[in-house]
Parts: sequence; structure tokens; C-alpha cells
Amino acid sequence: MEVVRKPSTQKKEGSAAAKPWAASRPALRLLQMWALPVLGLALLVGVWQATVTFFSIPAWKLPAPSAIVNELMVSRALFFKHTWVTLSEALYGLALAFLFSVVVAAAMAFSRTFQRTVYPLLIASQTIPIIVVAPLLLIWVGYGLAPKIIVVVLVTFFPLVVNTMDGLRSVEPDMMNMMRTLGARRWQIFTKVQAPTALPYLFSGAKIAATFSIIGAIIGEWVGASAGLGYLTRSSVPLFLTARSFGAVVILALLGIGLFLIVALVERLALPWQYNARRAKALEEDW
Amino acid sequence: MSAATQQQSASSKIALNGIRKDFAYKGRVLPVLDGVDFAVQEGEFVSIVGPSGCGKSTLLNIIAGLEDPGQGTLWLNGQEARRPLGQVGYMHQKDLLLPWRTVLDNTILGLEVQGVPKGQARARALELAERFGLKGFEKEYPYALSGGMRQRAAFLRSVLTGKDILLLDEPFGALDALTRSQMQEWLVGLWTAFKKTIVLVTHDVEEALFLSDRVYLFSARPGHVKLTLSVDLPRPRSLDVVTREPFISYKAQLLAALRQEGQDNREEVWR
Amino acid sequence: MKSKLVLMLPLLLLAMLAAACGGGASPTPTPTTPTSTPTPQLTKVRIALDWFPWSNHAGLYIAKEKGYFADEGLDVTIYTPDDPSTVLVTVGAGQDEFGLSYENEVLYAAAQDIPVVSIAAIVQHPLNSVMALQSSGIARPRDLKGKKIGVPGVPTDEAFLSTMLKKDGLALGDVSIVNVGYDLVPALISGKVDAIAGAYWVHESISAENQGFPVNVMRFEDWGIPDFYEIVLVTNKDMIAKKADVVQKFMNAAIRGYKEAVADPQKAIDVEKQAVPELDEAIERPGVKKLAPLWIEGNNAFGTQTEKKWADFAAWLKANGLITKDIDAKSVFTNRFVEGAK
Repeated sequence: MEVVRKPSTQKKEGSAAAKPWAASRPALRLLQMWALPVLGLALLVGVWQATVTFFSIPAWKLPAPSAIVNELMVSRALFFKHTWVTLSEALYGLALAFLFSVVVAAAMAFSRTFQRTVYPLLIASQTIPIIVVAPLLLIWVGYGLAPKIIVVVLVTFFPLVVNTMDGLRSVEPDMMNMMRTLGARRWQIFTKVQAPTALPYLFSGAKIAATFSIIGAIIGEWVGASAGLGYLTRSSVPLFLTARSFGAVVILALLGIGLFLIVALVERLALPWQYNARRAKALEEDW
Repeated sequence: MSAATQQQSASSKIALNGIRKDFAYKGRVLPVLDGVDFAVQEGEFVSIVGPSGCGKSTLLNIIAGLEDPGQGTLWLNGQEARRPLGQVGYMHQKDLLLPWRTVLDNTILGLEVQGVPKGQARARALELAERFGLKGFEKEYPYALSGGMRQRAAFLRSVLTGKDILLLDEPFGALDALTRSQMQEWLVGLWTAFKKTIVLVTHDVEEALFLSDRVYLFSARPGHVKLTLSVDLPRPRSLDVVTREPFISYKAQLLAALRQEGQDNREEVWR
Repeated sequence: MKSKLVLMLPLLLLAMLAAACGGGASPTPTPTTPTSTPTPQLTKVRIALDWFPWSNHAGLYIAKEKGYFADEGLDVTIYTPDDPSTVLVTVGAGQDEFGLSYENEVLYAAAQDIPVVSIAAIVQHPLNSVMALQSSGIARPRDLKGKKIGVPGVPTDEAFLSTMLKKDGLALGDVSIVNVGYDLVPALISGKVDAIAGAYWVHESISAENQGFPVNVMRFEDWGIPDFYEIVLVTNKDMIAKKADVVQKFMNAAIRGYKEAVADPQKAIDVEKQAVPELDEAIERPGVKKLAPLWIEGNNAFGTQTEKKWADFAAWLKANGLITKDIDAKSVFTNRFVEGAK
């Protein structure tokens, strides 16, 4: 039975008919994946617009989607400027958190002592509410980009560290033994087996961290900032420009989703074997 | 150790003298191997057969260097060795291929560890790919291969390390009967061509007899060699040898001894 | 990802329904009560404060603690919202009957058609000012050249500063502005900034002095900013239209309280301290001395407002780009209840 399970060949008889016709056309599959959420969102927006119009809800209470879109268009220069600030805070923070997490996770995987010392402290650090820490950061670090980036790091490094470490520890002992019988040294086992095993886990953590990074940037700005979407939302409130606040929120949501998708895309490119293995399995079970 | 034993060990490829090994488990000490003695000469193909839990895998681990010999000594290539990692090729029942590497890159893993440049290593692997039935699949990832092909890739990985000694721990256990017999024939071909010294652990008596020059039957735990059977069948051996004498009596002998061993040791403590 | 959006759906629907319901809701139903005899069934009303209780609220606390509200048949809940900028929204939506807010906020609200009306000026002149440590030698706006100014991050920060600087020959570009949130005094004392704007000269200045850091004060109205009412008492148009009697009753009691506070400010603090034990007497006692004169204007009339002051300030806001509409000053305030007080 030397059958090779390649995704393009089908073993099951008659399954070709049962398979969704879109499965073999990647473009249509993509459409199918997006159609439902988009329709759901459109429905939601429609109901929202209708409610505001029908009940004559004033804009300062709940702006209609049309008002929000209008504001986004009219003040697009303003939004663009502030979006860029928030995005850079999030991205710098993510990059730093990434570096920090990978180093710490690797160190913990290498040294049991280091792990036992540091891991409980990491967990404890997460129990301190960021809302309390953020103002203190302003006093310690000053104003400007730095405290916001630190908040982003604080908020994002935990999922990264935990996931990476779990990944590093998830290596089968048999694999490690196999490497040892090949004469591999500790660092070789780390680079050739542990690190690649941990990569999918790292990406899982990165997806979570990506969405958190936006929240972190906003919290940092909320406490004291002169620019950014968090600042924009906050400064719109006393002016009762609710449509602007909502507009900022919409952009924030899009940023979060965007970052998530970028990480997913990078994952797809970096782990081709995993993607294909999953797809092969998925095609077998009627997706 | 007596002078005679020492001399014998020095002239053998693999020599095990008085190996005694205990494991600590939940506060208790469990003896796993209890006085294993045998020697394998260069170019020989021997098998170890025994009931479950008799320490066969532990013995292989000791020879591979993953465990220390406990009490007793291990000699490899004429010299006493203690945890000699990287001196033998070791094949598991699980192929243990790295899923993120292509088949080709998996096979060169041992060479990479030794410091051979990737290009060189890949070239060497490609030379043997066809013989190992992997031609055309070098660029595939392990998930796309069948069980038999994955085992052969793991084999190639072991063979490429260039070590003379190959340890095989039930390598065909997970395969179906047809694939298994194909693989057995292929393995003999390999052994002949590359002149390796092979120690095979299996619970399949027929497999052991078909492939080996000598079969060691192990007792139940704590394991030691209960019966040594020299397989006096000319090579090359075709598959129909299993239906004739002396194969049938060999098989009967081994099975009887196994059954006896099973009866004498009803209680299973752990594993 | 699909599940994220699916989760958002019911949450957003809930939010919309809540907003829709909020628009139609009326304040707590009130039974008719004769004004002279206090009945056991009091009308419940709420007033949202501009900030945590400080000396400026003394009159209200006197009215509550000494039973003046009760005399008028009102059961008043005094509270501070988490975010002061929500006061006009909750009052406009009818969730709070009354609120204390700022003149500029009322104008912003009017620009967005939020139906609030100022019914009394509690503080007749600006308390907002620019402050610098005396030790720094900064005494007037032009001394701020090249300095760092800490601001609370509200929309008017830049407008106020730019007007003051212009008046003394500088431009906004001659200073650097740092958003320090509401921690103005710590930022000044620690030297993180050279001056602060948005601090009250009856409160933050005293706080700094108490910590050993006396300050120089540059008052807004001295430097080109039109005189404005720092704190006003607001209610919503619905209340005026349908429950004018309740508004009048509230006003009566409030004026009684404030008049008493003007007469004896220290005693007023005693009363407030009893109701609000967290009150920092070290700041509020010296503060109320400075503040009390601003509760009344000229002819000892409490709370009256002029159309001119509203119009001038609205014009200044428009000139500085903070509001884009022309606002009819008459529509945002009324003296009706102050004048009708007994």
C-alpha cells in the first residue's frame, strides 16, 4: 500500500461528488470564508442605521453608521495622522515584546533554574492591572512614545512567552533521544528540533499579541498623550463628537483585525508544511 | 572480568558483559536487565526476541548510549564504552522524521549534526534515494508519505551517518503485513550491500529467524539471554524458506521457549 | 475570526437598544407635592458634579445637610461621575436632572444640539490659570518662551495658551506642550514641566504651596481670554419645559445654601467635611476664602448670567476653531430660575 497522501489526489471513492465544489477553486473558497461574516456585519450595520433613523436618536447619543463614515471621510487627514501614531506604538511594542519573549522563553527552556525563578514572576506581573501601572510609567519614564510602547510590551509579552515556552517544551522526548543518538549537542537539538517545534506555538501567541498590542497602545494613550487614536477618542468626548470617537473605534478594530491577518499570513508563509498538512486533513473531512 | 572475556570483547564489534540495570520507579527499585552477556561480530545480523517488558529496548538504549550500562560493561568497536552517543545508527518504531523538513533534509540530519555542509550531504542522500525507494519524493514533507516510505527515510537517515552498527527497535511493527515483508527483504538487501552490523529487536519470531544469523531469546523481566539460537540457513534467503525446514523447527523451538517464559512469569508489574 | 464578529453582533445590538431606550426615558416619576409643606414622598433628583467634592460644592452640601432641599420637597443625590465630560451627556439624556459643568463644555454641547441649559453661574469668573513655581521666576506669559508647559489634555489647552502668549508677544510655537493628564501639580513640582495650565488658582495653587512650592499665577482673564463663568449649573430642556417647578425648587434651596456659604465660608467647609470626610481641609479652607467672593457678583445676586459673556466666549471658541457653528447665546442660558428664587 504505497499510496502517497498528496492533497491533490483523492483516495475515497465517490467523495469527489460530496466535496463542496468550491474546495478545488481556492479563490472561491476564500470568498466562501469571508461571505458569512461580511453579510453578518452588513446586517448589523443595516439594523443600526435603521434604528437610529427610526427612533430619531441624536448623534451625540448614538451616531448612525452613515454619520461615522461621513466623519471618517471628512476628517480623514486627522484620522490618518493619529492612526499612524497608534500603529507605530503598537508595532514597536510588539517587536520589543517579541525579542524579549523569545529570549526569555529560550532561556527558560534551557535552564530549569531560570525557569523556576522567572516564570512565577512573569505570571505575577500579569495580575497587576495595567490601568494602575500606566500613569506610574508616565511619572517614571516621562511623556512621548516610550511609556506607550512599554505598556504595549507589558500587555503582549505574556502570551508570547507562555506560548513559545510551551512550544519549546512540547518536543517529544523520543525526538530528543533520536537527536542524541545522532550525536547532536544541546544547542544543535535546540536549533534543529526545539525551535522549529515551538514555531507554530509562537505564531499562536503572536496572533493574540497582535490584537492585544492595539489595546495596549490605547491604554497607554488614554492615560496621557497628545496624539494617537486613544487620544483622539478621549479628546472627542468633551467636544461631544461621538461620530469621531466611533470612527476611531472602527479604525482600531480594523487595525486589530489587520495585524491578526498579517501574522496569520506570515505563519502561512513560514510554516508551509503545517498549512499543507492541515489542508490535506481538512479536505479529507468534508470541510 | 576475565582475560578471556576481555579478549573476546576487544575483538568483537559489540560486546555486552554482565549488564545489570535497575530503574527507580515510584520509590521502588525495579530490575530490568539481569546479567546480559553476548557478543556480536562485525558484519553479523542478530535479533533479540522476548516478551514485553523484558528490557529489549533498554538494552538498545544502552548500546546507543542513551543509558549507562549500570553494572557490567559495554564494548563497542573493540573498546570499552560508557554512554557512547553518536556511534551507532538507531532506528525506532516511530520514524521520528521532523515534519518541517523535506524528506531529503530529514535524511541528512545526521550528517548535518556531524558538520557536513548541506550541499554535500544532500548530494550523498540523493545518491541513495532511489535505493531506498524515495525517488521523486525528496522534496515532499513527511505528512505526504506512507508509513513504509517514512520508515525508509528514517533508515536512510541512520545509514547516512556512516556508522557501522545499526540498532533497529521493532522498525516494522507499525506496518501492515505486506509492507512488512517487503521491507524485510529490502533490509536484507541493504545489509548485504552496506556490510553493516545489525542488532534487531522484535517480537516477531519469524522476522527474527528470517533476517538474522543468530537469535537471542530473552527471559521476562529482569531480562537476560535465555536461549541463543544460531540460524543455519544459507543466504540469500527467499521468502519461501519460512515454509520449510529447518525454519519450522527453529520457529517451534523459539515459540515453545516463549510460551514457557510466559507461563513462568504470569505477573506483570509495570509496563 | 468569524466568532469575533458574531460575538460583536449581540453586544452592539444591546448597545443600540440601550441608547434607544435612554432617549425616551423620563426622569423618575414625581407625584405632585405642595411646595410649602414637606411631605414624606420627596421628589428624587440627581446632580452630577464637575469633579470630586471640593470647596466649590459647599453651598450644595449645606442645602442637603441642613435640609433646604428637603424643605422644597426634594431628595437630592450628589455624585461625581467617573469622567467629568459625561455630565452634559447624562443631563442631556435625562439620566441626571442637574449637573455642574463648564461654560465651554455647555457651548460644545449646544453645537452638537445636546439639549442642556445653564440656569445659574456658580463661579462668575475663570479659576483656570497658568502657574509656575515662584522659584522659577516665571511671572508672565512671555517668560514661558522655550519652556515646557504641562496641560491636562483637554481641547481648550492650546487655545487658551495661544491667546495668552499672543497677548504677551509670543506664539504657540515658542513653547512646548506636554500632556500630563490630570496630574498637573506633581508634574510641576517634580520639575517635569516648567509651568502648568488648566489648574485652578483657588485649588492647585494651594496644593502646591502646602507642599512647600509657592506658585506664580497668571489668570486667564488678565491675558486676553474673555471673562467666562468657570462653573455653571445646568439642567436639560425637558426639565424646564415639563418640570419647571422642580427646577425652581432646586434653585431656591441651592441659593439658600450658597448664600449661607458666602456669609461664613469656614462653617460651610465644616458642613461639607461632615458629608464628605475625604475632603482635604488643608486645601479647601484657604481655597474657599479665595473662592467665596466669586459666588456672587456685584449686587450680591447669586448665579446671574449675561448674554454678552456667553456670546463673547462663544465667539472666542469659534475663532479658535473649537466650535464650528454660530450659537445663539440666548438659547444656552436662562436667568429665569435665579430671578424667580424665593
